[in-house]
Amino acid sequence: MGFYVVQFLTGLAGAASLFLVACGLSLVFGVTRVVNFAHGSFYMLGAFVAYSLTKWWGAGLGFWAALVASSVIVGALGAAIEVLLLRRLYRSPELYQLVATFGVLLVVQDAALALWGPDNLLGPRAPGLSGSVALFGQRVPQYDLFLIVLGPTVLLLLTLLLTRTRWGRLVRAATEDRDMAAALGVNQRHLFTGVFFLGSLLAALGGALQLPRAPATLFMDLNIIAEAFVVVVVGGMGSIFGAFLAAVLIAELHAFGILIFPQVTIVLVFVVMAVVLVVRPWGLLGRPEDARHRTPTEIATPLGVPRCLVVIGLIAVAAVLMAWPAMAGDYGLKLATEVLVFALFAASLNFILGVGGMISFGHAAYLGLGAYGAALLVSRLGWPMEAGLVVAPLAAGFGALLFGWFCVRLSGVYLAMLSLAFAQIAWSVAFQWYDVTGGDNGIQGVWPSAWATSPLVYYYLALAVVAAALFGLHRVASSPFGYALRAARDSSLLSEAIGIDVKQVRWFGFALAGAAAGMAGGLYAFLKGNVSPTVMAIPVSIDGLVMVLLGGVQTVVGPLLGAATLVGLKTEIASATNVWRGVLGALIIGLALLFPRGIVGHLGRWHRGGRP
Amino acid sequence: MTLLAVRGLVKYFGGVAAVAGVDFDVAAGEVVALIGPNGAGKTTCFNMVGGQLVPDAGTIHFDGHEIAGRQARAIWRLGIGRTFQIATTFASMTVLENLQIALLSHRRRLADPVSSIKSLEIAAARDLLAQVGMTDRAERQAAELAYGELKRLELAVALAGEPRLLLLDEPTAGLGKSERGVLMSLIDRVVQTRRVAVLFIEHDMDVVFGHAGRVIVLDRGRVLIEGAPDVVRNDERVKDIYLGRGAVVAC
Ligand SMILES: Nc1ncnc2c1ncn2[C@@H]1O[C@H](COP(=O)(O)OP(=O)(O)O)[C@@H](O)[C@H]1O
Ligand SMILES: [Mg+2]
Repeated sequence: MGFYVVQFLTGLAGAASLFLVACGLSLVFGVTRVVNFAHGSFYMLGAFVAYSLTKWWGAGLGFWAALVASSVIVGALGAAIEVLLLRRLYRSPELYQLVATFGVLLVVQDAALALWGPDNLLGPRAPGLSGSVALFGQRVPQYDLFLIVLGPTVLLLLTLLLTRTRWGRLVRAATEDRDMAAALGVNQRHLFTGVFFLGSLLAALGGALQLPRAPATLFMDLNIIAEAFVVVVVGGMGSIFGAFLAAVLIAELHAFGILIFPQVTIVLVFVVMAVVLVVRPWGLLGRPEDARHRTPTEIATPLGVPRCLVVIGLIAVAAVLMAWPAMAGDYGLKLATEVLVFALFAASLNFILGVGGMISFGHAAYLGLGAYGAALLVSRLGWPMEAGLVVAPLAAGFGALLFGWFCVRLSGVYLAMLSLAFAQIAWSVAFQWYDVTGGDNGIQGVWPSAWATSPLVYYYLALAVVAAALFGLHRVASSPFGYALRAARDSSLLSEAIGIDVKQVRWFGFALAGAAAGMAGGLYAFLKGNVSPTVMAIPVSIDGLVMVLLGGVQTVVGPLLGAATLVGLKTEIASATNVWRGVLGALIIGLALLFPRGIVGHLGRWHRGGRP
Repeated sequence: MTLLAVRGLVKYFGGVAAVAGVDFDVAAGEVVALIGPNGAGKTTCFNMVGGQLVPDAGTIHFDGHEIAGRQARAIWRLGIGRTFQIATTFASMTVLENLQIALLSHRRRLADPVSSIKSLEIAAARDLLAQVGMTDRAERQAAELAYGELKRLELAVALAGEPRLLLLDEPTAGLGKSERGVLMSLIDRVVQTRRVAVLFIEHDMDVVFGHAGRVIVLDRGRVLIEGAPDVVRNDERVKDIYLGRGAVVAC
C-alpha cells in the first residue's frame, strides 16, 4: 500500500515539469495561434543555463538563484525570438510557422552542443532539499515533495494572473477572440511578446527544475515537446487546468506503468490518448471549436504553369534520371537512389498535405513502419527482398489506418501535434522493443536479392518503383476520390452538405499516403542494408516537410526537386561542417521567411505575373 | 402535401436559447420565406434542418423520415439541398469541377481512385451551369469568381443532388439590385421546372414579398407570425420588430 502511495507521489513530482512546459505551450498557442516547436529548446536551455549558473555561483543557494535567473534569461530569449522571427510569420500558413520554429530548434541544438558539449550534464542536488522523508515506511525525496507542491502553486498563480490582472484579462480576451481583442485596442505586439516571455520562462523553469532529478541532455528538447503535445492534446488546447490534469495523468501512467513492464508505458499513453480523443476530441477540458470561428485551411492555388512546360519539365527530369548512371559512380548512384526514395516520401506527404490539407508532423512513422516491416521479414523470417517490398507499404498502410483513424478527427495544428505524438510512440516502440527491433542498434543485414545488389541495378529498381508510385499518387489525386479529398480540404462544411463522408475520405487518404511512405521505407531499408529507429525520428518527419516546402505544395515535380535539394544540401553541409543541424535550421528559417509558398510555388506566381 | 414538418425545435448556445420552440411546415413545391431580425435564430434553424447542428429538442420530419440529429450527408441524400449565409464553394477547384464533384457524390461515384475526373459527369455539369447562366465561367477557379457568381455556383451545387427542398440562407445578401433580380428569377425558374420546394432566409422585403408564397417571421427564437405575404406585411408586430427596434431591414 505504502509503496503505491509513494509511487503515486513520484508521478506527481514528475508531472510538475511537464505541466510547466505544456501550459507555456498552451498559453503561447492560445494567444498567437503558433505551435512553437522551439518550446522544447527553451526547456532544454533552461536546464543547461541553470547548470552553468549553479557551477558559477556555487551549489549552495546558487541553485535556487540559478533556477530563477535561468528562467528569466531564457524567457527573454524567447521574447527576442518572437520579435525577430515569429512576428513575421503570424499571417503565414500554420505549416510554415511550425517548420520555422523547428528551424529554431535545430539552431539551438547545435548552439547548445557547441557551448556545453555532447556529454550529459549531471545537475546538483537541490540545496536544503537533498534528503528524504519517511512515508509509509518508504523514503520519498524532499525535492519530490517540493515539486508536488510547486505544480499546483504555479497553477494557482497563473490562474490568478489570468483572472485578476488587467494583463491576464487581455490574454484571455485574445485567446478567446483575436479580432475582438484587436478591436478593443489591445496593443497586440506587446501582448504577444509578453506571452512569449511568460511561456518560454515556464518552459525554462520546467527544464531547470529537472536538473536535480535527471541529467540534462541534448535530447531533452524533442522528448519533452512530444510529451507536451500529448499533454496539450489530452488536456485541451488553451486550458491551463486541463494541462495540469493531463500532465498528472501522463506522469502517473509513467510512474505506474514502469512497475508492470517499462515498455508498456508507451502503449498506456497511446491508449489513454486514444480514449480521450474518441470521447472528447477537443481534450479533457478544452472547448469544442466554434464552427463559426474556424479558419479555413489555407488554399494553395494550383500552379498556372502551362501543360507544355510541365511535360517538358517531366521529360527533362526523366532524361536526367535515366542518364544519371552514366555520369556517376557507385557513391553517386547510392546518393541518387536516396534522392528517389525521399522524393517518394515527400510526394506521399505532399499528398495528404496538398491534396488532403492535413498537416502531418509524424509522417516518418510510416517510412519507418515500411522499413521495419521489410527488414523484419527479411532478417527474422528469411524472406526475400521482393516480399519485403510488398510488405513495406502494407505494414505502413495498416499503421496509418490505425493512427489515421484518430488523426482525421482533428484538424490543423491539433492534427499536427497528434501525428507527431503517434510517430514518437512508433519510434519509442522501435527503440525499446529490443527483442524484436534490436533497439538502438536496429536490424542489420537487410540486403537486396542477389540480382539487385549492384548499385546500378538497385538504382533502376528504385527508379521504376518510385516512378510507378508517383504516377499512382498523381493518378489518385486527379480521380474522383482525390477530388473528394480536395473538397474536404477546401470546405468540410460544404463537403458534408453534399454527401461526402469527410472523415472517411480523409482516413483513406491518410492511409494511402502512409502506404506510399512505407514503400519508400522498404526501398530505403534495402538501400542502406540496415534499419534503425532514427528512420522514424522527428527530424525525418521534418525533413519531409522541408522537402515539400522546398518544392512547393501542390506540384508534381516539386517533391523530387525538394528531395534532391535537401539530400544534396545535407550531404554538402555535413561534409563541410559539423554544425550541419544549425546551418540547416538557419536555412529552414530563411526559407520560411523568404518563400512562404515554397520555391516552385513562387516561380509559378512570377510566371502568372504576380497574381496570388 | 407536407414535405417538411418542424415541431418544437430548440437549440441552446451556452445556456441561451437561440431557437426556443419553433414549429412550421413546408409543402411540396412551395416557396416560403423565413424572415426576422439578425440573431432571431433563422440560420440556426437551417443548420438543424440541414444536419449541421443537432437540435436540443424537437422533431423534424422530411418526406416521412425523422431527420433531427442525423448527419448532414444523410439528410442531403434524402433530398434537402442548401446554401450558406456566407457563400461556400470549393475554392481551389474550377466551377465545372465544383459541379462534377457534387454530381459524382450524388451518383455515389466518389470512391473511385483510378478514373480521371476530367471526363466524368461533364454533360450534366454543363447542363447545371447553363441553368444558372454561367456557361462562360466553366473553367474559372471558384476563388476568382465575383460574389454574385459564387452565389449562383452555390445554388447549382445544391441542385446537383436533385433536391426536393432547397434551403437558401440569404441568397441575395451582398448582391446589387440587378443581381438580386437575376438570382431570384433563376430561383423562380428552378421552382417551376423542377418543382422543388424552397425555404429561404431573406432581409430584402421586396424580394420576400415578390417571390414568397408564404412568410414565416422569427423573433428571438420563436415564430412570431406566419401567413400570406399581405397578412404579414400589415401585421403591427412585424412592423414593430423591423422598424420599432431599428433592426436592419435591407443590408
Ligand atoms: N455556433 C454558435 N455558437 C454560439 N452561438 C451561436 C452559434 N450560432 C449562432 N449563435 C447565436 O445564436 C443566435 C441566433 O443566431 P442565428 O441563427 O445565426 O441568427 P440569424 O440567422 O437569425 O441572424 C445569435 O445570438 C448567435 O450569436
Ligand atoms: Mg443568419
